[in-house]
Amino acid sequence: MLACEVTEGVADCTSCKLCFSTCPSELKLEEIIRYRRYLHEPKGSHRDLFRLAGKLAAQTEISGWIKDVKTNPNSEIAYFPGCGPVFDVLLMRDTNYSGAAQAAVKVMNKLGIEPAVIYGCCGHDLYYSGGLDEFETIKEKMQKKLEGKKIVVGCAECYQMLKNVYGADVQHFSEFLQEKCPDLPSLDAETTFHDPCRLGRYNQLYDPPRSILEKASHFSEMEHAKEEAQCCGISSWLNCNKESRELREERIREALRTGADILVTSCTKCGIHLDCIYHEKTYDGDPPTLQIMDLQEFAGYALGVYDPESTEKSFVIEKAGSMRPPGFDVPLDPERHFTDEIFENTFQCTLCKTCTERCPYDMEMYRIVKESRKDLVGLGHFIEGHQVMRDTVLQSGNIYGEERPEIGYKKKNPEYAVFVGCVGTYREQETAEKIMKLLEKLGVSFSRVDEVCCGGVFPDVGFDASTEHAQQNIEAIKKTGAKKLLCTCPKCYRTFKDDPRYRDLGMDVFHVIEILSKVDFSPMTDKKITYHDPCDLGRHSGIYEDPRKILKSIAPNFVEMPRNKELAACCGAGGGVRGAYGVKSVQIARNRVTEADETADILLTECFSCLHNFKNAKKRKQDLEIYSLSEFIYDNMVDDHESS
Amino acid sequence: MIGVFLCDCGTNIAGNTDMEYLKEELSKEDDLIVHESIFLCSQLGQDLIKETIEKEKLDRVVICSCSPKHHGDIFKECIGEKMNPYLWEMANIREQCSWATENKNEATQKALALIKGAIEASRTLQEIGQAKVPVIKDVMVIGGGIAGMHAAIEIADKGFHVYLVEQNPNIGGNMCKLDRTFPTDDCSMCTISPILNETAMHKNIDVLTMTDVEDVSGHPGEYTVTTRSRPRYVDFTACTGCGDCAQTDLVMETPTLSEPLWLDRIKIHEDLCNGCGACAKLCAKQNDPPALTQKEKGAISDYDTRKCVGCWVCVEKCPKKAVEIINVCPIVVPSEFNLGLGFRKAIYVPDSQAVPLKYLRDPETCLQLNGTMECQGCTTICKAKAPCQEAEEVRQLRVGAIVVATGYEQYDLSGTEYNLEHPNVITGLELERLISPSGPTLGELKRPSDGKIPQRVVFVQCAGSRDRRYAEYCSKICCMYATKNARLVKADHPEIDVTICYIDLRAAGRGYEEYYDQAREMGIKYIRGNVSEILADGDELLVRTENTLLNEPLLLEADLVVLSTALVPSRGTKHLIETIPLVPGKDGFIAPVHVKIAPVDTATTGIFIAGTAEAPKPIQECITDAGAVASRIATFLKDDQLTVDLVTSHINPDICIKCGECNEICNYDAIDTEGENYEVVDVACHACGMCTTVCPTNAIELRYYSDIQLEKAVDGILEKDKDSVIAYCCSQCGYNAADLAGTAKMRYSPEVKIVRVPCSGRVTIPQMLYPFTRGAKGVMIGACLEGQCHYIDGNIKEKDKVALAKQVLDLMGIGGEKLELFNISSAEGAKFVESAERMVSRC
Repeated sequence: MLACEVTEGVADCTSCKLCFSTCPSELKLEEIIRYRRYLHEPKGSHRDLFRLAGKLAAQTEISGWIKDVKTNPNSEIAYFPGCGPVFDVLLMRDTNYSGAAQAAVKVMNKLGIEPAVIYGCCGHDLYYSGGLDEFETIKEKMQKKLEGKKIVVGCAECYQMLKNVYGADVQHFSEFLQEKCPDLPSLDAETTFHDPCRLGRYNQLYDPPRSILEKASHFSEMEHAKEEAQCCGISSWLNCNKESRELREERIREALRTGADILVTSCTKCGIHLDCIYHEKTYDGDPPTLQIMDLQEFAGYALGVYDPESTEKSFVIEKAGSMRPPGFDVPLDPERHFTDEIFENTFQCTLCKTCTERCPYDMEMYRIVKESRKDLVGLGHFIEGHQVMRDTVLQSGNIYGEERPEIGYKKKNPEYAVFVGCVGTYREQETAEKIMKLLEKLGVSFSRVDEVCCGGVFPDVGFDASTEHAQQNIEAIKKTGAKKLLCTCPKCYRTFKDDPRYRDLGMDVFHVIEILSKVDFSPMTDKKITYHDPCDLGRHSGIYEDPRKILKSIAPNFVEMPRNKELAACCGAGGGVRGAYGVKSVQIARNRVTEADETADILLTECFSCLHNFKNAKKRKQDLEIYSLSEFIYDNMVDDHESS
Repeated sequence: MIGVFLCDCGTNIAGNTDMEYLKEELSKEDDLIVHESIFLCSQLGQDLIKETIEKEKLDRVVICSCSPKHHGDIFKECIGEKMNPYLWEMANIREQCSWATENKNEATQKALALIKGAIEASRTLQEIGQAKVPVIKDVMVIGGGIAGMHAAIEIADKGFHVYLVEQNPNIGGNMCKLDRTFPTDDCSMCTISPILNETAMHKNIDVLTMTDVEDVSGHPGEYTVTTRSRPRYVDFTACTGCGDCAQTDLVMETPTLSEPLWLDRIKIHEDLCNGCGACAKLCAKQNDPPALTQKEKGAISDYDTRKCVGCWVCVEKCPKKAVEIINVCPIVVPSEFNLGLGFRKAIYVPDSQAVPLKYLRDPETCLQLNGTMECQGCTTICKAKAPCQEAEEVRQLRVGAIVVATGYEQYDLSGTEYNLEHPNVITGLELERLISPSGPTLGELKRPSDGKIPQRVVFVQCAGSRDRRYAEYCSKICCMYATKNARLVKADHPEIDVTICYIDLRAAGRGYEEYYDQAREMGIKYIRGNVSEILADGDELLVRTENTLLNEPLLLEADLVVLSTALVPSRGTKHLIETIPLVPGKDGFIAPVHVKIAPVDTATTGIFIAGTAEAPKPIQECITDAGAVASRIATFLKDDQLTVDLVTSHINPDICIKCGECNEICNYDAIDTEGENYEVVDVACHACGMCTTVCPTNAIELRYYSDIQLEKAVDGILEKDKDSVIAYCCSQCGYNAADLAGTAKMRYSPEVKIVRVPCSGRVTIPQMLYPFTRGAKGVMIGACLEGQCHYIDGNIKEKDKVALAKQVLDLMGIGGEKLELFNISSAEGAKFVESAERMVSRC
């Protein structure tokens, strides 16, 4: 009630979509973020200044501001200029970001076109930063203004909004210029191009800007370009910080490394953010100066109608009225902006954490997804199967609703208490049995726990896990008299380590693979073997080397798949996706199985879920063998291999 | 839970506010506990607050009563007993609501909005801790007049070391210039002399004369004052004050010197001289050109003083002892001490009774120092070898507290209808010199033009005072000192016709009325009428006035006119207002933090005022001030450490990009940029919040007056009443001006609702735009007068930001006129009302 908190991480995402290409479910994570920003509206940097300007624009009319150009309101071709003067005025930096729009119209004039200029705010920042109620007003106004017009847009953000959110008939300025002015005079300038995400990854518009720059200058590509283009660091004015500054500086340095004098981009915001370093009071000449120019300015420059060096401002503000904004006080209503798309993007995530590896901010998106699921469940939006599973566990103590079998492998004063988990106890009993025997064979002193479901899956799918069960497990574990806990299931392992319900467990938790890695095994097969890192062991727990140590000793022909360790592709089973979206889950697994099949003869992994999903996904024509690593060892171990 | 406490303030609030309605409305919210008290500041009221905090386990408290400037500290202390003393807000529903609003219903609605704003803001508050700051036990008193000296002695007697800084060569200030003082007619010099000596001799006082304060930095308890002392060119320790160097034979016919003089240094006694010519020969041998030349053998040598360098060889070697020194220093200029009357030499003491009685040389007129010649006059005559070359001395003195006692000066009425250019129109202070036994006429009343004793003297009261063209206020002491001077003139010369022209005669004070009665009995004429013009008729004067009691115009003939000139802040006072963040009142004098309950405290903690730097006042009030200041300082410096509340800015190092914006805008060097991360130096930070307006990342934030706190205050207000003009008022001026307007029951539109900010410079552009996005009618900012910002230049910087925000409002069709910054001093209640009304009319 008292503090106004913003959910951690929600403001960080730049919605740059770099994660999209690695996401196994091909999710639009930015949609989850957008919705969460509506629920937990974060403040923008610059004291929220520009988001506020957007909120004002939602309630008012922006008057005409482009200076010294010829326009015709009845023209078929319209131009949408964006909001340069707002930035020029409010950033207090003596800039002329408005020049891009002026240059564009001057270029059009030079080509004999007098466009109708449609002034207004595209609403991008509100749309992406949670101001969805205010955005509705903008949308209504914008759609009216854009109706029936063919619109040229130079700003990547405006382009994305006009094209994909308003469905207007839009052409990017670069496409327009390519079409109307195929021959551009060449300037003696070295250029490079920064792909704005809204133009590139959002709209795959990579080539038209390049064709202009190639014609009009000496163009070189940056190391990270097109799909791989690094982010400018900030979206919608949210969360400028140390890391974003590092990203921006690195991007500038990358541009400098191409030898370019001019870094061209096609997004006002990318321009402002990259330019920012040069406006810092502490700027000391490093990184060296690089001229940052909008593509429209560059075109105007090349065609001799616009002087980017001019100190004159490209806008003029005149008092245009005296209206009073009605003021927004629409109470937050989570249902108002909730869509099926948001639901599906939220529940199709396998929580595999691959996106974190790709994210410029190393954002732990899976945490946000989990929080988001919790919120949605709270609002009554959930997968029924998940709820059924929750109820089953509450009633029976396991996810299968079965009677607990007699649990063997009891021993007095063991070193380890062994927790097998639901899958091993109720479904993969055979594999579990083999692991127990293997541990016995290796002389590990352990006793099995009279366990109930660890509950780890429930927070993953938006439900609360049972604290009673946790208490029950803690007591059962302590009852064995062991001082350490050993898990065979990676998910249980993580749950005992991280879940606050087990905070009072008070003992070290190990996964079987950590024990096995301490054993010296001899080679067991000559076949080509590869290993799939389960996300719970790998990206979530950082256990990469233990399995590889074992693999290298048992299989001289161990080979890595192209995507391994941190970048390992997902099995598709996690995060409740297998149950809720079976087809999708198997498709993801199939991709991984194919990758393994192309790499090796045998695929080993150490997670019941991965194993299960891979086995389901394997096509008949694929002759890949799939085993659990520990099972494989047990099966192939000759007695004299035991030691230490 | 939030406890909301409504104060009736007797009928002050409840008389114009429907308290039942407020209670009813507020009780609708689940997390509010509402209580009403007839006087919340009373012990009963405070007990209610404390009990409720305990019983209901309150998270926050909202006090709805008078201005926080009034009882804020009382409530802070009361609440602080039970919880962190920053977890509460105050809604000012008295000064800024019930007193300022005509209609009871409107006042009630406005009160509800203000309370709601305070409630919402209170939710955002965080606990605020404290820091300990070491205290320097030395004190600086600036100004060595009667107030400064007395304060210095009182403070020094309490065991603190004092630096007494005086810009003049001697201490004592204006009181040294007075002849006698009212209402006892005792000799001013006799009264002040023991104080002068005690100050100079006190073991705990260092007197720094001829010293100016250049800069004050630091913070309460630990100020560093940079002082610059001008050289005396006479060794302070060596000089015995014997006066040999300044001896003269000059006797003035009239009290005024028409022009600077270059006197003969020697006189050759004709009766002794035998014309041997030795003097001329010796002079020629030593000096080129010689000052003494002999036309022919046997003749007395001719002397040209403008060539004489004062080697005194002629005096020493004359066999007949016919050459006598009459002026060691030949240069004569008007005496500053005597306000241009009388004269002094280039080497001088301001007054024969000056303390310290140490000579000095004026580098402008001293022939040696200004390079006219290699004059050796004083250097060879001084037995102590005191005249010397000296340089300016700059000191950095560290003190815990500062007393400003820089006094007043007389309004310069040159070029006005008062005809001050006429030699026989003098000011009251000049008259003091003319009747003082130590003055240029040795106490003989002679008029400046011809030295004659005037037969008709007219005193002109309120010359410049109570006059909107000059000084609007009453100078307080003139009625009595004019009466006193008139009495002294009449007592010495009963034949002189003495008239006093006055507007009102103000004789409030112990023995004052009786004193005035006696004056009338002595035959002094009092004419109730303002003087409109003083005309010259040769040496005579015609004073145009009116006897308003008889309704007849008058043209009085006078030989001497004495103006009771308005008192204005001295140059020193004005200089300090620019140097230290002191808040001047509308009258230009330094304003106390509260005229009644904190009359010697300034808005800057650790800096106090005494005497006429605060306002015109008689000597006894200066003494009272000085005593009060000493007491305040003893309290302030009693511990080795001061406790400072950390209401300062702080930086989140995880976000900060070290762009340097905060460091650039900070006026107090409070951002430490040297370490790995930027950090705020808490003791240096004045919590003005200007840094927060420029930080691009939001890494820097005020602990109190945070963004969210102000935003929620606005939200609360607009939730209850969208038809509002949000008035961000700086707590130094704008807010006080509004309080003052309310106190004076000046009414203004209830649409204007005030949100307090530390400094207008803390208001960010988003804070200007935000109310518009929530439907407000307009936004105004109440800032200090330009040049008088308590944080140096917050209001100037704010002006630029306002201009930018206006452009955006214009661009969006809202209109820039709906946002305005008004410069209002804390004393200008009426200007606040006028600004508020202007704003409402255009929104």
